[in-house]
Amino acid sequence: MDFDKIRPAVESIELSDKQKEDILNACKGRKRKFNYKPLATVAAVIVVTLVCFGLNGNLFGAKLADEAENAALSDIYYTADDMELYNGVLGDMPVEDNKFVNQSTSVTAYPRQIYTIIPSAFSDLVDKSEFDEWYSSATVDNGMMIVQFVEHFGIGKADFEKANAAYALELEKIYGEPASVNPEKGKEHLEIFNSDIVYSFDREVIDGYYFSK
Amino acid sequence: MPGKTIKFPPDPERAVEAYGNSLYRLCSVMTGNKEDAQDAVQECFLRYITKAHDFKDSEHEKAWLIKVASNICRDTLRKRKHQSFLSLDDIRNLAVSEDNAQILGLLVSLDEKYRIVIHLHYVEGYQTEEISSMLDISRAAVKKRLQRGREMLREIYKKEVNGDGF
Repeated sequence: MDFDKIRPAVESIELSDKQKEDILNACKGRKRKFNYKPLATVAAVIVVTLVCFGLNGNLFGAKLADEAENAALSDIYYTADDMELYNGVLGDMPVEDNKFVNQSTSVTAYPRQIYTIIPSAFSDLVDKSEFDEWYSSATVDNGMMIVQFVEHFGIGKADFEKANAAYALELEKIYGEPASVNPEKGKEHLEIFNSDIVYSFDREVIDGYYFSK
Repeated sequence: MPGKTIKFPPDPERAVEAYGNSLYRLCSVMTGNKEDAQDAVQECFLRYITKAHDFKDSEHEKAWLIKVASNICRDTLRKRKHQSFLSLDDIRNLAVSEDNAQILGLLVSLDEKYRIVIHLHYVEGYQTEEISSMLDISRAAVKKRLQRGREMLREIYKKEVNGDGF
């Protein structure tokens, strides 16, 4: 049996020039086009207000305001960091998917990445096949994934906190920076679970805490 | 360019050119389809430009990227909610020939934990100690997974093509 055939078979897989270009564009923040109309509207209102008040609402001012509003509402490109700042979400989260939107707030809000994940430090607490079976039917529609996990498998808070500490170490190893329950803006990838919030089992409290406005 | 320190912020164009194909192969083998693989590679480079740090040399940089990519792929598999059911069409789309598709099909049919060590060893050429460090598992675990992965590949192959080695 010739395992040496694995290498040439896998090496036949290559990124096309178009794929490389797409990745680079995403890195430069150009491809990640994000139409954040509420933000644009707020920006437009500020511009309109400033122009109208600054020029006493004359026609010239009104025209400038219209132009400013049109500019603000036209296509706006945000960098990946901007997206993370505004959404708390980076990567393959379906940010436009309404099912992730917290309808209780007047401004559209999205859950931070940690709301949707179950790190291996936690899934390793339970039997793999039982976990896979549960996970195959679990959905974020029913709330924060880790809360559902804790409830389903009856994970005690002490075990949870140990797993959380292990997860923090794992993040620190990967990113070279300490993880915390409250990382600074733009560093949500370093966020670990807030056990008090999780163990409140109160969806309103949990969603209020983990949805970024 | 081993031996040369790579300072933050990194250069994505250089990195995509240097490691893009390696990461894409890893992500393809891990996720089993082009779209998820490209998404994972893109996410990996996004983290690279925003979250990476100084690297001792290019090997250190590549190891960091592989570690991040493998974590992203694991998350992708979990989000997808089923890890084993990959279509033949997905595999064929990844490979340039039927022979390659057959080998890739065998590889992606392995459980994720065996697949990644087989890939890192046989495709990327990493040794037990390096894989152990990248995946944060013991050297003994790497050896065991390599051994078990090989056995499973032989078993799967026998079942599929009646015992002629590939």
